Amino acid sequence: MIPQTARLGVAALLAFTPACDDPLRERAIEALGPEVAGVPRGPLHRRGQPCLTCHDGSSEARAFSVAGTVYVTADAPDPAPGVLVELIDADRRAFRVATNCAGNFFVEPADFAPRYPVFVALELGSYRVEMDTPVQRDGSCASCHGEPASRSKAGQVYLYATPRSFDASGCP
Amino acid sequence: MRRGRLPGLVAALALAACSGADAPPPPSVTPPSAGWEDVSEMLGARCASLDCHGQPGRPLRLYHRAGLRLADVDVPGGGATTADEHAANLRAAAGLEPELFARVVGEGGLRAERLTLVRKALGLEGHKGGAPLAPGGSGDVCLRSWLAAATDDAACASAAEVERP
Repeated sequence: MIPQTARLGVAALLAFTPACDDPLRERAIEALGPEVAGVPRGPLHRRGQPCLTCHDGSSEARAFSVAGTVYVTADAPDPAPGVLVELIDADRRAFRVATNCAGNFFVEPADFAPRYPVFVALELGSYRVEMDTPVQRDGSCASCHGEPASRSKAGQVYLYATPRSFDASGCP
Repeated sequence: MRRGRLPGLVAALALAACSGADAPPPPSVTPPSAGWEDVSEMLGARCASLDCHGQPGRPLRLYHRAGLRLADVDVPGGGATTADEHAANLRAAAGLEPELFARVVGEGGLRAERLTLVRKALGLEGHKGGAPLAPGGSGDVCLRSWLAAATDDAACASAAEVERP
């Protein structure tokens, strides 16, 4: 029989002990660095970073199922707003979402929780480009895509293979 | 006990411990290299994306022209899968369960489901990537034919084409 005082003590200890965090997750978040000066937390922040590192449903950050950043070309840092990102999952369910002024897009699980593999295409007007390979399991584009390209990293997600004019006049 | 017998006894026990007392020693079999590049391309197309088996730390780490590259000068999507990458994939596939792999190959590919590689690919065992090869489909035929040292090139080529829905 555990005395009442001991039980109360354990309960108090548990109540005031912070929840155990995932050290790997914490380390991954730290590695992303601080926010960029002048860009507050929100839909426009941290473009090009692996969104689901934080937005994975295990913290106060909104959970995303798929999220990423689209750039105008492969080798320039200009984001591509107004691009439609088409996602088609293993059950042939399609979902479309548009990029914002940072080139960011994000999908919440309540709207679309795909079953992998997921095939991706980008559209702007009548122009369409399809990703060569399907996404197999990771909802963060930047887990595989990012600059600089290397043997384990495909370059950033881009709309046009060659430079061309892009109308981003609706963005600040 | 005479001191002279101890080293021999220890060696015998160590050998028994390593080989397993009940199991016969595995046959000495080298992985079938004939047709492997077709199998490697098929596995690469279906399993080796950068967010899956194209990650360096995975037990079954696979290189592919569209995923992880072996040489620092290569990038995903930047050229064909190289011979060195195919060779590394072969070592990864055969090295997953080397003794069992040798046994399955030595028995002509019979009961290939003994291999985790086959069970996971067909979704017969828990696999985060689901079942990249449909049971009885061209990818399944490709993999089993290779294990039987009679690679079905056409099945491999068909399975290496991943169709968009």
